[in-house]
Amino acid sequence: MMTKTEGNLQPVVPEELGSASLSFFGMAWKKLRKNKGAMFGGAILLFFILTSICAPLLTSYPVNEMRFDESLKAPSAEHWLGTDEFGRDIFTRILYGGRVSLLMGLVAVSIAGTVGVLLGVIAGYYRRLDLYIMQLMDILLAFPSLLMAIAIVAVLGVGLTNAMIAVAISVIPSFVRVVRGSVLAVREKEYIESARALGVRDWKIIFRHILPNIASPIIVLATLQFGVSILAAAALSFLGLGAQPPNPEWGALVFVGKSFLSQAWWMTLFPGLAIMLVVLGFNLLGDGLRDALDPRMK
Amino acid sequence: MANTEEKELLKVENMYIHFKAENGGHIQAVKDLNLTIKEGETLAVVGESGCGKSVTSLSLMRLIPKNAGYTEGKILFEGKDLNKVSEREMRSIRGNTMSMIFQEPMTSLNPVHKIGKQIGEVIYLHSSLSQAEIKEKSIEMLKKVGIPRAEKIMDEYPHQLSGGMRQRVMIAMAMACTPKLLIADEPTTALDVTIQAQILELMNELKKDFHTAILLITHDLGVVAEMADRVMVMYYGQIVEQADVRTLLKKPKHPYTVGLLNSVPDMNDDSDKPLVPIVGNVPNLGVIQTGCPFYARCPQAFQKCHLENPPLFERGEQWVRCWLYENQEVIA
Amino acid sequence: MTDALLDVKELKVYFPVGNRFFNKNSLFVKAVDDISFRVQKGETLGIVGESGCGKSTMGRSILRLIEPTSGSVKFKGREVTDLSKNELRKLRSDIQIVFQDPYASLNPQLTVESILGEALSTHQIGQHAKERKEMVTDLLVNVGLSPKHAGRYPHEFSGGQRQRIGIARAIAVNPSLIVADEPVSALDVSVQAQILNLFQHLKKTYELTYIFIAHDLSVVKHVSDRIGVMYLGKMVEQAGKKQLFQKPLHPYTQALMSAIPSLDPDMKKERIILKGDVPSPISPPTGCYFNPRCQFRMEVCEKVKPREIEAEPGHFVSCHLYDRDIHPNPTEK
Repeated sequence: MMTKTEGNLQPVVPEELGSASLSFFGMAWKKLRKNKGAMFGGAILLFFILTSICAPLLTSYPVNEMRFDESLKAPSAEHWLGTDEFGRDIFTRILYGGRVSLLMGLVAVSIAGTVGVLLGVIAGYYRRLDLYIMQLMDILLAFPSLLMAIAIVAVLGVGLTNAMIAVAISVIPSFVRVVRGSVLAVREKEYIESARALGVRDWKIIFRHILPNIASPIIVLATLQFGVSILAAAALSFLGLGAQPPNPEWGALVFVGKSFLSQAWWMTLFPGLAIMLVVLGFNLLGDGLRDALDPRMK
Repeated sequence: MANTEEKELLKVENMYIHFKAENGGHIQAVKDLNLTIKEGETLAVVGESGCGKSVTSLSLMRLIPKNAGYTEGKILFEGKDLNKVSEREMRSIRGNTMSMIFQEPMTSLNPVHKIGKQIGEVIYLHSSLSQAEIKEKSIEMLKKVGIPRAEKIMDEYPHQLSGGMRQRVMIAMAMACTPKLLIADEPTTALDVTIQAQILELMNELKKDFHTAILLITHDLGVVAEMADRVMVMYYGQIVEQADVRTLLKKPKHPYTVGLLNSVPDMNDDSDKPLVPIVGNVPNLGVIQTGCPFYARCPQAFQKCHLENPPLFERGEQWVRCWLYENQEVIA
Repeated sequence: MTDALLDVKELKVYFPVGNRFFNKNSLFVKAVDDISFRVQKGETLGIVGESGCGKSTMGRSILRLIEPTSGSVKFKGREVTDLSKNELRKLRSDIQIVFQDPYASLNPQLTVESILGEALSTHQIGQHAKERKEMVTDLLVNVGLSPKHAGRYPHEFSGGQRQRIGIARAIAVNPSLIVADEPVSALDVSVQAQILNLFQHLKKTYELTYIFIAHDLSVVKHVSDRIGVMYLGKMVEQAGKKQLFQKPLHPYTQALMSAIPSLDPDMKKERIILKGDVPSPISPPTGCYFNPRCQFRMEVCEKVKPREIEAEPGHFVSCHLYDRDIHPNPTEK
């Protein structure tokens, strides 16, 4: 019936003017640290990142050398996660594969993020090409992203690099949309107007005033899209369109393993689990970041 | 002017409102508040942001969510303690014998429902009228609050109306069940002065017609002078002064009230002399301090003010929370 | 008359409404519709009007934060509307603006020092970082803050303190004209008075000229030397403060003044309660825009737009009541 419109309802927390000033991101970090889910997600990611970097120290098996006498061995003390059809240690391959998978996510998100922020700022701040950029993005978004990635690979050709580009392109529209929306909201703020009133140059307004104030949604989106990209890259590899054997990319491992599903379940289960855990980690961290970076927080 | 013969309608005794703070502690938004409203009277509660005036009004309607905070003390409305009645009983009071209008007429109406439906719902909840009668009554109420072409407005959505019209609709909804008490929380703050004049006139007319008591929450002393019979000034969750409107505006006692009145540019003064502002800023609730909360900003503060929070001294009909008035002789 | 610091002639700001893409000759919101006025050096021109009357748009169009549709804005004898982007940037150290909402007008990511430092460095004021730092300190002191506040972020300040920072940013570049757009309406009453006094103080210290925009007539009266009253994109009356308050001519000004509640409960004056709302600026009434709400409406008001008449020396009003060609015996009121 009636809606409350009362600012006083929110408890007012004392602002001690004696304490040290925390920047916005300083406060967000403080808040994030209290979020158990996000910290758990972060721990998972840290684990995978460290293990893939330190792979040579954690395992004594070579990645690609074939030893037929060891083929399709079940998990044991010797081979923790078993071996594949060529006798290669699955644990070792997952460690090294993590490098490829994580790198694919990183590259795809970096490309998509850069292009997305650029297009989003052009559309949102300059408004000149707004209509055309957004219509293009709407068309891109109309395709399911995996289908689109497949189509792009079909054009560019099969392979790791092309898969990364394909994933990046399929992720761009979500960046453009978020960035454009945020820019539109921020550019109406009076501090942007006052910067213009001071005669501050456009590029400085964009880099100094707009981008830092829309960093929160971009960071959250990038984190979530990281997981999405890894998943998409793995899916492409699983379909045989991305990383090609003997590359130990996780999707490729599952792809190879599926032919031996009845004899060697470990060949698909463990790389699959790795994908799942990493994506889960990114999602948990992303959700936590979303809460911590909420502009309503004080 | 309020008639002293009138019955007491609302009596609040020793009310405290606590809010949960982020750090797990509690913040006292309102401390030891006592107030009475007689039937047909207008009591204005004046104060600046964070003084606890709006929280008080929400608390009277029991609209503060349980997980956000709680209220202590007695709230006697027509003899019933609202702090003790069931939620069901409270619902039958809200919008019926006690109703409320808010500051922001843009967000107080539901944007997806037609005006007729929203006003009809209030009447439906608190009466046993038929659909046709409800519609008739709704149109009658809209006409009473001065809305032209009331029949047509019934089928329109809130966004099709101007701010002033929306506030009229809100008032029509609030008055639909002829409440005994209308709580108006900054009812004209979002409106232009010429529209404000319309709405204030309307509220005064309705008050006469329905003999409704009004609890008017505002920061605007001009609105107070226009509307109120009695005035309560709040600062930092406490009543600092209470008196009838004439005494308070013409012979204010508390240094805060004096400061507020001096801060407002006087329309009848043609000289260019600077204003006399209150120094410092409105303190945030929750900052623990001893002594009088106004101490730091008070031009007349002395040592005792720093050490001890003064109680309310009753000086006839005027209540003042200030050590200056501890002894009757000091009153200038 | 000496050369005015600011000379605005027939200023118009129209915004197209509806979809520009499909509909070339669409409707316009006439936010500012043919306004002329002058501001002398050292004076304060107050602009009052209710929401939607175009007063903020007018203020911003003087700085070309919103591009004027037509008309002329001469500042220190130079045409502002013709300036190139670079010249405009230089001009902006000479005209500054203070905004209404102190919560939105400061970048939350920057410290006070970098907010003020940016203003200085943009206009190459101060030779090096150290000198700028000293200037920031001076600015903070001049607006009533402590130099200790320099390293803090906007969210650590109260509304009044933030408004002081906003004012410091405006005076940092040594402007001669400041457009103050509702600078106190978001503040608590007790803090409002502090900020109004600060404006008065800075005016003397920095020899400033103000255009002070507000909806609150008592605030405008307090700070202004001359006052312009706006209604629906038009300047309906313009006069010296005393003239305007002692003898308001336009029926709208009269209604506006009588609508302000008096602080004296015994002075229950005769109210002129205006009927209805402000009409939409997309389709304003024909003739005089105020005619549907005016208590002195004549037949001619619905047909002919009133012209600006100098009813008394320095007292301009746009109303047929005072036009001797239309109304041979001008009424008092």
